[in-house]
Amino acid sequence: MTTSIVLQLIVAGLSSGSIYALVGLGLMLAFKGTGIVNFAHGELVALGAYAALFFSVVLKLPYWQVFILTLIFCGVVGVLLERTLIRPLMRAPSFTIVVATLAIGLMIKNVLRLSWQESVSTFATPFDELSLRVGEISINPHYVWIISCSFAIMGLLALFFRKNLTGKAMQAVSQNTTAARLMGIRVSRIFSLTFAVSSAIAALAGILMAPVVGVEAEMGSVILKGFVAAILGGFNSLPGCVVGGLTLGLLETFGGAYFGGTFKAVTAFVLLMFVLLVRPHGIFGRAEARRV
Amino acid sequence: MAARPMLEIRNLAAGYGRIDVLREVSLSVPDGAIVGLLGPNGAGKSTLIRSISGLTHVRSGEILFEGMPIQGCAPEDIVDMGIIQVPQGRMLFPDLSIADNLQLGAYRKDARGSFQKSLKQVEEYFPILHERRTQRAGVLSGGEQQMLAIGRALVAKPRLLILDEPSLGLAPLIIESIFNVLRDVNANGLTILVAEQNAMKVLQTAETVYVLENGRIAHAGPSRQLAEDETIQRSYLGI
Amino acid sequence: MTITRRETLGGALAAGFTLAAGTASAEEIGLTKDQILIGGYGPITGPAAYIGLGARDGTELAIKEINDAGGIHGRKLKLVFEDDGFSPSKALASVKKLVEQDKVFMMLGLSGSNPTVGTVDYSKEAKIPSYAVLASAPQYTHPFNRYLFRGGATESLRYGELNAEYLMEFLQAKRIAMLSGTDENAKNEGDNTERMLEKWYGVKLLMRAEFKVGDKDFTPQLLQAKAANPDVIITLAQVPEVSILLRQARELGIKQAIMGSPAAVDNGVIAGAGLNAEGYTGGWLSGQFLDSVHPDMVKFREAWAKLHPDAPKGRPNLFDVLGYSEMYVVAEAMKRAGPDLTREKLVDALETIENYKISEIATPRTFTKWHHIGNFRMQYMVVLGQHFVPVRFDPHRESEILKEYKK
Repeated sequence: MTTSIVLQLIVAGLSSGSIYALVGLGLMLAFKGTGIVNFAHGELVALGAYAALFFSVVLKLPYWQVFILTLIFCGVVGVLLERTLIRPLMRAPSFTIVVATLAIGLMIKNVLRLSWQESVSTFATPFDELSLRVGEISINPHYVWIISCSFAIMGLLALFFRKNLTGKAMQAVSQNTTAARLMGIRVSRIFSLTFAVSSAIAALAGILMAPVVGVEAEMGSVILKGFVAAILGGFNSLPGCVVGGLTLGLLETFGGAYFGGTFKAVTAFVLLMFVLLVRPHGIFGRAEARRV
Repeated sequence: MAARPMLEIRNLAAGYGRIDVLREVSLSVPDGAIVGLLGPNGAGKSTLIRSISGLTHVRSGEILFEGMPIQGCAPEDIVDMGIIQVPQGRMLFPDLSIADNLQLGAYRKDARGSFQKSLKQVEEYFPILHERRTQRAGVLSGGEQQMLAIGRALVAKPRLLILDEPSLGLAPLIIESIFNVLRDVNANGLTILVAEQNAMKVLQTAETVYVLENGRIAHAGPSRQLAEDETIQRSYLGI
Repeated sequence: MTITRRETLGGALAAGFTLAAGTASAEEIGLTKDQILIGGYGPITGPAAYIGLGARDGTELAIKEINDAGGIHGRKLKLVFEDDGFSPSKALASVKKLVEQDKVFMMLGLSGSNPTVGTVDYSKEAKIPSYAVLASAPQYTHPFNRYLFRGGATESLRYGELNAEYLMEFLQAKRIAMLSGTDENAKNEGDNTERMLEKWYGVKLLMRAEFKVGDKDFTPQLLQAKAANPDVIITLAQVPEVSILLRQARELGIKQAIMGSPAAVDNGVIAGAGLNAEGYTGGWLSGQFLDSVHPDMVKFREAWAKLHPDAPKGRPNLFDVLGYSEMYVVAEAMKRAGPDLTREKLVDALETIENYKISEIATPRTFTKWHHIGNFRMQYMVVLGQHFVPVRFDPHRESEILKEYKK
């Protein structure tokens, strides 16, 4: 295998890994802020991609406006979902909430499928005309953009959770809701905010994925890879999730290139099992050492 | 006639679901006082405190804070008024650092501006919180956790501080230092309501004491009087 | 007489009268003096909804045009449609309901292979003329049954024959690599193409690698194909996979021609792969392509848009075209059957259809008394200037399927 192909594989692996990390970050955020594992997260990714498609193809807006509008739109959808469908169930057993998020996901998927029946679509980005060439290989500049965006989001989230009072309040709510209320934290506002940010991150993943894999109703299945990334991060550690996502992306791409497609298909699950056995609290997780 | 009490509870009935845990409870906390709430396990002390903070449904009666009825208010709004609770079991944020726990204590708007000052004060009371400020709250010992819980309440700039069983499960030395802090902040003007099973400590600290039994106030009066009443001591306080 | 059918003695008497009067049509189920009731089933929910929605709406458009022009011998057509969710058991339930409750005259299969196969046994037993518009599974036409017809799609073996002939005689490929999905359709088409290349031309594939539906990365398979240094890479997959595959192939420096399956000759490929789709080629199950400026296609598109002013993106699709053109084939047979229409007469008339097509948007259909496979053709297309355009390639080898039938 030539150097240029190896380089191509690294960039491709990091790029799909970045998407996994981004999806994982969104899942983890929702969990950190509300204690809910949102199974509709994958469909929110698809929703973001379709919203971008709509803004781009129907309203013919330029990419940067599409980018911003999509994030806002999906943030608002996230709040509406939380207010109308999740909040009334907050006191229900967690299994009920899981089923509810699954149902929300199915609803979104079917609405998308019926309202945009093209089997696969895409929209223009400023990166379409750029090309990075190495030997006879062309590296998709979109990959570079995806990787940068994911790292930027991880950095912003880390800052938000470490330095920002609202970010800390979000974690407080998920760790002990009653205690958070006794601090004067408006739990319902935190929930809405959490869903807004988490949905916007899902939408970002959708916008970034769309030009690479195409917009289609099934793209929400990326949630599985996001799960693996989030679990590698112990559903708690941001760097753990990002390293997990990137590891998964690279393993898939290189494993696939050297050992064939079957290896690729099982990579995610083998990695997941391995981590759960060896480091059950995630790559950077620590064993629970709470004393009460 | 005495000044209007800071907290006044009139004929309170409250509970969970259809069962009333509290019946006809009346209680008053004068401005600047330390009031104790005694009673055996299950008498309804926690329910009363949760009712004041808005965490339990009040069926009837009134809770007046500086003359304003607050029953039915959301817990967040009650916190904003300055009623700060140190809940039973501490309820810390285990995965956040000690510093972050303290900062969240000062989450309410009135407390944010003076956080640095009140933090310094709290760290003087409990130097351990300063030494271990970057560590997760979850790894602290029981006594340290209680110190953090009280520190977290103090940085909230409370007007009324309510503590639910602060000495539960702690070593006598730590209980002593905690009550010293309570006496000190009270001396600086903070009104305190403290629920305890540990009668001795409360009778030494509080001016007025209420004894709760089966959801009703069984006795009320100055702590000195209760401390001398042998019947009360035997029947309720287990001294 | 307006009474057509009743479960009463009176109804039976009335039927007796009409029979005596010699107007047999009045006793035929699903038929009145002024209406022909047609049953249809296909997926309009779930992942395959675009198939059923397209086929249903295309059929409805043809029906509307036929009715506006006065119907068939004074009878208007009416479609009763059931959702089968692309499931064989639901397709069977739909057909039972249409036959037993709605009492339709004939059945249109507007669904894929698996659901349609689920209805075969029942349809044979009910002796109800059934016309599969889209299904390619051989079970529908083998063994021969008087009541079952296949219209728009051709048989899966035929895909293999056509692909092989196109690869060898039009693309003149000597070295061929194959990448195929592991799903039923892709696997069958791949197997048949591989078989026919060997049987007809003695050519063996250089390599064949597989991937799964829903895969997003084809680097491993493409690197394997690149290493084999083929003239043409044939890829059998759906639109989403092919559009990613085309882009990745070019990124990996693969310059060879890439050919696809009829399942992925779709504007979605161009939308998804952009300039990387240039030169991509494959078979198309109808005549002119959807965005063709051929007057017949323009006319179809305009009529369709008039009926669906707020159409979702991606419509009309191939299934709209097939639903539309196959409905016209059936209507032509109904016309030929004459005013005294019966199910038997419809079957007889369908068997007289020879090289019939409504316009250039369709390819011709032929049925005979000994085979009911209406379509043996695909129109091969190539992406030029971001459009699928037809290539001039007419297959001339006789299909093994027909040889088999003739024996």
